[in-house]
Amino acid sequence: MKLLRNLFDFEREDSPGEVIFFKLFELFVVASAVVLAWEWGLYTLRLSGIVSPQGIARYMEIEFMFDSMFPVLTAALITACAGATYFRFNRYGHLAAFFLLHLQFAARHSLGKIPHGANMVGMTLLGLALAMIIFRDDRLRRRFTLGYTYFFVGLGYVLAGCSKLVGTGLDWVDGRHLWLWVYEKSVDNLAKLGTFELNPLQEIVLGSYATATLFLTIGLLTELCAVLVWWKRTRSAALLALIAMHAGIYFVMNIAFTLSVYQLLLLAFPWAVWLDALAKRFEWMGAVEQLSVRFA
Amino acid sequence: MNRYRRSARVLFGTLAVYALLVASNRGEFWPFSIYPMFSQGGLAWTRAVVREVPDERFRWQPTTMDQLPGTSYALADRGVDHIDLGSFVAQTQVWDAPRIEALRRMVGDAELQRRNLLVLRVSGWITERDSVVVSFSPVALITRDTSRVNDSAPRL
Repeated sequence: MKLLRNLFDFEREDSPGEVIFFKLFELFVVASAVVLAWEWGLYTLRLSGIVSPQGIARYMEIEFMFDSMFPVLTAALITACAGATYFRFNRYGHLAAFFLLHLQFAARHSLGKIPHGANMVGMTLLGLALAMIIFRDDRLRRRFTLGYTYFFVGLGYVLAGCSKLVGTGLDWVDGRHLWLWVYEKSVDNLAKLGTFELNPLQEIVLGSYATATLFLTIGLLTELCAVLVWWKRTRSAALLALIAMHAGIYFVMNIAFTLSVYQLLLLAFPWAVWLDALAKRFEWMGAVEQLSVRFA
Repeated sequence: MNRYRRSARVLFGTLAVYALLVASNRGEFWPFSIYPMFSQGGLAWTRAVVREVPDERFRWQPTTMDQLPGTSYALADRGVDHIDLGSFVAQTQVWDAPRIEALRRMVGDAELQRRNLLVLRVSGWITERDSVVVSFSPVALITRDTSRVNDSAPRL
């Protein structure tokens, strides 16, 4: 019960800043889902079939998504469904958008390599969808969505850390592993951009086994400590540590989890407090609050 | 029903579905995942790069980054996902007609009207002497009119 109170905190009343923040947070999730839907849909038009079935494609034929305009139709439907629920014309649009986005993912990523940059947005969209269905009260929906998101953000990173321990063991932090990944990502850049150059941080890592090992050790510990996102008192610190870890991954391995980092930034900082402070200073913030309440 | 109890039911219900789906789908069922990327340290990897070549006068032999034939070719500028291409090349055991056609389609017909493109499979591994080796093996040359493949290119 203590964990649930830390996650959902249903007793607390919302400030105007929290209402505005949540509507902006929902906008981020919905807009991200719509952008992904179109990106994946338009890319699927270039694919001719499935190499390695993902998700729902392992249970049913989704060949209709290839050599047809279905990916575009699906993207349009996701846009309409998510938009309708964002403006509260119905309660089930987010859920429909979630399932359609899964179909879109299964078609787009049928070539074998599975990216994880959109998982956090997907889980949050599911949280939004479930909140719309199980609660009628706007405040409870906001609390549930954020608590649900905190839980699965923390769980995701802990699972990532556990996967490393299961996959390799404590030896995972061996600096030579990082060397191999730095070269792998450099070749990725060569393929993507036609050229690449090691940055100073990469050169330091490649030049020192101890530094490379230290980087991996810090990364692994940060992932395992992500369970602290579940508790209010340690949440911000844990989220900031995850953001720092992503910055390290970006500079050492050239991997940008852009959407996840944006979402972590939204969750880590006290945006609602800052919006409340803005509301006290500027009258026009009253109109923003009214708009947020209208579509809460 | 108490709001906490209702939330707990939905939260742990999702968790149960999450566990069931990742357990029965090799750890991945978007957006549910055990996030296995980079979980196996020291594992050799395979990628792909594309080079623009003027003609067929190059050696179909493994080479190094310093001695790549032709000129650089950026997949991002042509809207081709380099991860997809790498995965496609890594998973192709035999370059039969459908695989070559899929490769041509991935690169795009418009590009092949103007360029001769050489696809190389890139492999990286750690040697016993603790250094990293990166080897580039030409696997396919695709041009406007022809497709030549090198099925004997060494693979990991």
